[in-house]
Amino acid sequence: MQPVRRILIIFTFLFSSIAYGQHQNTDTLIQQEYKGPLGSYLDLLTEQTDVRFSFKNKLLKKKKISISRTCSTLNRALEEIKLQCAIDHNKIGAKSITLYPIKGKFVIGTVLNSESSERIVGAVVQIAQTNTRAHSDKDGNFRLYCLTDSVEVIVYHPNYQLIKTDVSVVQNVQFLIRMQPISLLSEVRVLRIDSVRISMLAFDKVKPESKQIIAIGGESDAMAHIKLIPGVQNISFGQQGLTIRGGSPDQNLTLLDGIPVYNTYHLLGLFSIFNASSINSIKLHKNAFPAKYTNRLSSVIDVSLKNGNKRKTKLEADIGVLSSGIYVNGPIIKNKLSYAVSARRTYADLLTLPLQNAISPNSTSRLWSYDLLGKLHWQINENNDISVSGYNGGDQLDFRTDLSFDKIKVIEENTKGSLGWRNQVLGAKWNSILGSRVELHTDFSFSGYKLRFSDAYRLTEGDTTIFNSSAYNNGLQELRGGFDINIQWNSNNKLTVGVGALEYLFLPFERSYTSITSAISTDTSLVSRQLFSAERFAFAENKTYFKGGNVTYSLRLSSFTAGKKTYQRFQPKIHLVQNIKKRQQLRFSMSVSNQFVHLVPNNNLGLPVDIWLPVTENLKPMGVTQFSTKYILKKKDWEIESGAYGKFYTDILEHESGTQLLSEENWEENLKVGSGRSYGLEVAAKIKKEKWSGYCSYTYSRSERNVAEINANRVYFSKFDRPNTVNLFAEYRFNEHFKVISVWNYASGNPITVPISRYVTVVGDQEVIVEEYGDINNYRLPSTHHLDIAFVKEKQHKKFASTFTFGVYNVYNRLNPFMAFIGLDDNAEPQLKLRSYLPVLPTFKYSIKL
Amino acid sequence: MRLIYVCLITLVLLGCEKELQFSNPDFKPKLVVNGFVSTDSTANISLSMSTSTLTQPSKTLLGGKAKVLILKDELLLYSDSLTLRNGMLPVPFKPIVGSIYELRVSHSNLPTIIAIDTVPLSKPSITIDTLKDEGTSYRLVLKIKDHIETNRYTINLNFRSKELQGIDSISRLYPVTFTSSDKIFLSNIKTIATGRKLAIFSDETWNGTERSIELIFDKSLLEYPNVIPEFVELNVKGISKNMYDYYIELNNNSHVYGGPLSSVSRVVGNVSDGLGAFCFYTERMTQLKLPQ
Repeated sequence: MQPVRRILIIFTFLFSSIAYGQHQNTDTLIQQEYKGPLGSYLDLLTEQTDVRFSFKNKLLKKKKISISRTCSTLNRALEEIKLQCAIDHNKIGAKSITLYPIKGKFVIGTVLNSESSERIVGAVVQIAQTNTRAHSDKDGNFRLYCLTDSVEVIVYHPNYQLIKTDVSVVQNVQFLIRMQPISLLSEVRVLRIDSVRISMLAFDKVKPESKQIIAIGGESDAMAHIKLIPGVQNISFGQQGLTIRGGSPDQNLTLLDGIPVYNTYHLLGLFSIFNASSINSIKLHKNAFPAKYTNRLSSVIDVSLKNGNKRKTKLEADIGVLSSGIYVNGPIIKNKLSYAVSARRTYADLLTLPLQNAISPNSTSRLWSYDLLGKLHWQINENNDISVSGYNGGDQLDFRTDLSFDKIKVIEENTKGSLGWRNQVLGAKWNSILGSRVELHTDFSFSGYKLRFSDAYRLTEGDTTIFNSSAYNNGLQELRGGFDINIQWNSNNKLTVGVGALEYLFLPFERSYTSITSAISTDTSLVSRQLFSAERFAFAENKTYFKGGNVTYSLRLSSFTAGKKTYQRFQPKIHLVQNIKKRQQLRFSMSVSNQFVHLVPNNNLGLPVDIWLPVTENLKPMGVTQFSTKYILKKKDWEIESGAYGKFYTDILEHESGTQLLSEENWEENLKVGSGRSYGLEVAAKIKKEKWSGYCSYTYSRSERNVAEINANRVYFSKFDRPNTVNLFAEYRFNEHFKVISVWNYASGNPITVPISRYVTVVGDQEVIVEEYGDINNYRLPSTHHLDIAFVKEKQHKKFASTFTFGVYNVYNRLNPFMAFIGLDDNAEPQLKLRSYLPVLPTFKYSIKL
Repeated sequence: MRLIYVCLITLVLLGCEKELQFSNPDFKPKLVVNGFVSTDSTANISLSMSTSTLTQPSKTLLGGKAKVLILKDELLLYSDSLTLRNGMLPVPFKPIVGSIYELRVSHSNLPTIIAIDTVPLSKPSITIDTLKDEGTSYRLVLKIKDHIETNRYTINLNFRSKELQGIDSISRLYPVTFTSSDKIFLSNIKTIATGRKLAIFSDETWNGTERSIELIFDKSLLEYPNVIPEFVELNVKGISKNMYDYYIELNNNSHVYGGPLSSVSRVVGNVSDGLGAFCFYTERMTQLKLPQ
């Protein structure tokens, strides 16, 4: 037994020595602070501990490490290497360690509203104690790359309760996060996570509910918020459409759940078609916007509708001066399928009709507008969802005259006419998560825009009827289909590739007239012209994340067929975001964009009836190269951003004055091709305190054109040139029920064309005064500014919440320019005069939420 | 509630006006030609001058001498220095159908103008179908036979009356405002001058065929004190393309600048370095006795 025992003692001693030796190596005290390349640090560790590291050379390439005082042993150092450089180790013997890259796992998920199952956009999802974070996208999805086997995930959104949850990440993991909304009226203190960090999103985002700007008539207009963003301006007072960085309104692509909408305003631009209650979020891309949407020169306004509540039915209703609306949403199949429907109608016509009947019963006119929005959302399973969105809306002006004479025979004369436009939009979208790294988005849509001007005359005399009618229609239809795949091909790179096809049908000159009289039996004629165009596109966009920033670069190839000619355009884009320090960020972007459809002004009816037309064999697609940069400084309570941009247009189209598009076949000849540029500065600042918040923005913007045959080929300011724009927004909350909001807008006047002389000509036997025009845009209107104040009272009743808003539009009654004309002064001398509408106006809106 | 609402709507629509400063540095006066010449008479051309935007213009104020040169089919027809009388240039020539005329006029320091036009080939071929008394109005149906070339027309309606002036009975012509339910006008919406005393249209949709057109005019328009309406006089002109384009441009000449309802509609005419128009027309006139 003795020898055996001896051997055992020797082995025990040997093993103990080895174990002790190993323990001795890994717990060896090392230099406590280091910052620099990982390779040098490993050399240092070898010097201090006598441990050798083996690894592939490319493993250490560009890797850096920062070691603090707390890291005092080799074991701790190896843990830091694992955490900071994603490199794990394997100990081979006492003096050798092999290093190898860690294969991380993805934590993917969807952030949902716990009450409605509505997807939450823009929630911050962060792995605790690290810089790894992501924002939930427009479908509420997020993806994080994680190196450890278990993590604590923190989810933050200003309107929801903060969530902290532990997640085991043995393999790729996918889960739903349900966030509890914070009621505006309940006293909930929200723990905020590191709110000083600057978002790296490449767009300006607006949540309509977050601010309650009241438009004219008390309308809660979602687009009113967009106008506060620097670089965004109204075309001019009382006109519909936005000019973004000096571009014309048709250079903005407005999307409703990804479907283009061609006319986004009601009643000559008084308010937009987007009722705030049904809108989830609005994203404004004005720099290098996503390659998927690139066929406009100035911006993409991406409006997403709310999904319906998947748990219980909700109702919102409001009544205001101009319109009333209702928004209903709820489950069809609980937690699976939901609907959301909203309707709004203006009722000036209904309320004034009795007055018109009293004053002039034989002659009435009605002006009204309406919106119908609907959305179905089907959450098939965790990986698949389908949504169908639709919109139908428009404006209508109807007038009629009915006369009746009872003489020898009963004679009845009826005249009626109408002018109206309609938007019809329908689209379906299927989002599918194919794996932890791959998502597929498929969408199909139809978008139609139509304008109709018609009149009819009927004369009935006994048994004889004479009937005549005429109509003018213009519009377009767009059919779009495509899919794109998002591939997270490694922890730092996300690739999106996609293809799509668009078919356009333009109906710019559709005219018809019918005549049935005693002298002419039947006389029907139709002059119609249809234009077909098609666009095919493919794109690839990659987003690379690196320390403190990211870069997105993309290339889109568009092929547009107009008649026998096909235009092919390559549109590269790059967008760089880099944090300089923790609280400062610098952004830069460069993009090339092309546009294949445009809005051409038409003067024939003396009405704002602009026509959408495509590029043709003779008119090339418009193009723009844009450079922009932005600097952001964010402190705890306030944030400042300032930027500059330059846009250089090619093949830009301008309408030659005095020509008629409506009845001419050669309308292309009336469009002149030239170049242009826009440049400017944008500054914005916001501050948020406990009881009040403020926001201000300033834009310096110039927009110039140079078109042969216009203004003798000299550079001139376009009609979208408004050099200075200032927006001020302030909100003060007195208590949990009552707040006051004020908005002040200022914008320089825009150029208009005023005649340079007058003369007399003869028509038949009549003298007519004619005006001669010289250079276009030769006069600048006075500036526009107005202050609007709204008092908002919110109350939580037993079964519902109510909001009463009383506001005053144009508080100090500024006479803002609407149009100019030559009138007579007090001495009966001709004088250039300005007409102004919309003086100081009280507004109110009462809304309830069930 | 309704009263409040009506007040609010009224407030919204209440327009306010104020005067704007306008210095107009780009103004340079130009000669204005009003030369609408019939193939049935000698040329009657008026010459005037444009004024600055904020000055009332006149057709008859220009005096002095003007140097006039006329070419017919590129050959010199007339050249002289003429004295303006009430703004009128007494140019002694009668146009011939199908010919091309060029007018050159210079006056004082104003730029010399040049205008060219072609005389329309054919006269309008019209027949009156019916003139019906409709109780409160008259309904006139006429037929126009269009020639094969592209033609453009205007229609005027007048009534001729017999009236007493002292002991004399004289005949006078009054323009009549008319309407039409016929889409030949409304399809183009090109009715110019106030009160629809002149309608303009083309043969765009009925080229080379015959076309019936209905005109309606109110009986009350013929009621003047001491006036006995006797005839209705229909004047149909076949106008040159330049004249048609000029009228269309006039129809669109906006008096509103800026704002959604404005449009810059340039009236170009066919007078280079000047304003107005120098155009030719053929005409056919028909008289019809009014039903008593």
